[in-house]
Amino acid sequence: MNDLDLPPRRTLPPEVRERIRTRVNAGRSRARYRAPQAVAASVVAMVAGIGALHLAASPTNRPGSTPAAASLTFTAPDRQTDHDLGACGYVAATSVRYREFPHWQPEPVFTAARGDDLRIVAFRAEDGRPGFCEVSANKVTVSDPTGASMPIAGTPDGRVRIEGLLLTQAGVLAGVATGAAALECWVVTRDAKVRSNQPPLLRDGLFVMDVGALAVGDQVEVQARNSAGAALTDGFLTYDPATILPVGAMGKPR
Amino acid sequence: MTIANPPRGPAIASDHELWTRAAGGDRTAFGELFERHVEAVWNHAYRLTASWSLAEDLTSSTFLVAWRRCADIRLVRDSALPWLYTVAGNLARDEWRGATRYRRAVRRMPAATVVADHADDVVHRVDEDARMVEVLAAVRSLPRAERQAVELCLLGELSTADAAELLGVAEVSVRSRLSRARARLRTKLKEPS
Repeated sequence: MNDLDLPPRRTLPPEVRERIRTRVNAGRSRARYRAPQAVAASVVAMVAGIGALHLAASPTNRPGSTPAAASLTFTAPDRQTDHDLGACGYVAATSVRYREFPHWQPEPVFTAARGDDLRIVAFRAEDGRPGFCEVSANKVTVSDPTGASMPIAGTPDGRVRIEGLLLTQAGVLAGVATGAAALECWVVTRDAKVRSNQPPLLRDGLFVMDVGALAVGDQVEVQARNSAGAALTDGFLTYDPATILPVGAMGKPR
Repeated sequence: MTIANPPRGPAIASDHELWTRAAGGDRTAFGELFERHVEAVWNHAYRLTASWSLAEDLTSSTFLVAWRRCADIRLVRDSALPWLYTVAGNLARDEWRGATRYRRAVRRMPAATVVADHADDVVHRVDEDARMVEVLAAVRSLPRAERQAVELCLLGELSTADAAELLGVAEVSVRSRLSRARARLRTKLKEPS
């Protein structure tokens, strides 16, 4: 080499090799998605039939397509926020799980808005429990009220933890990030294509990110960073309707 | 005199064998693949990012993707390297498009990568990093097909045959893409930045 006058290759320093090896080993310790396509497809059909998430069945989820996620922006809580929380409260109260939403007095933390008239309100319930309410023109979705979550990443001492609470049909993943000043997010598809997403919106330990359309087996990788930008931990959530936390309630806006 | 059973060392497994075992969940096999290729991937990652610290992140991510995807991937010409380079390339492009870490890092270039070191070496590294930034900017401006060929063959130093199989085109196409790319790059790299 080389006709581009590139710097010569270097010997990998042992300490760098060790750091890379440690990170790879840590990542490998997590489970690998191995469901065969046919089984996965039948799971999607089954789950879609009972009204849970069925992102993979949407027309934009053809194999090989990696549509970009849209951008989310913070908006200040306003009258619209109250209206949205009211809509979510109505859907929660009229859902089959209404008994699980005993204290619907949410305090908004922030609102995220997407260009296609989609809004997500991050809130805390009366008892401090976090929750999310997504409102679009024709659908209202509320996160699971029981405190269940989808673990994504965390440090062994538990100081940093990222957990998903809501993954919606609109491609929004929302949850709790403890001990992180910022998050970064990538989506790794089954064919090893990678798309980066806008950094998740994070405030007061609650985050909202747009992961776009997901197919079964796609992985949403999230990395937690401290205020200096150093990586604290990372992990991923594999999209599989059989294991994704169901939403708390879903319905049409009033 | 001949020795009937000459002493033999342990058999060296091919990438294909290791890959197949790794796809079945064999961590030791994947570990062997890692040790075999990590240095090459790290060097390639530097050539895709012009930053040794980003190269470290990119290398980790590349092997993590490999671990998760090895059950779905068929190796090209019995070497894992072309596929690993492709993953690293996808990740690097993603960083570029994503605009966050990568652009911040490039803007800081070359000062941020020169920490404690001897002065001569520092100057040398600064020059190398600056050259890589310049080359990468030129490579990114190439049409997609040419850019892919350049990343694999000029930056990654893969053979045109390996690149052709990986890209699913004839070897002659890769050669002509490289030829056109070289001409464009020569012009671009002569232009004052």
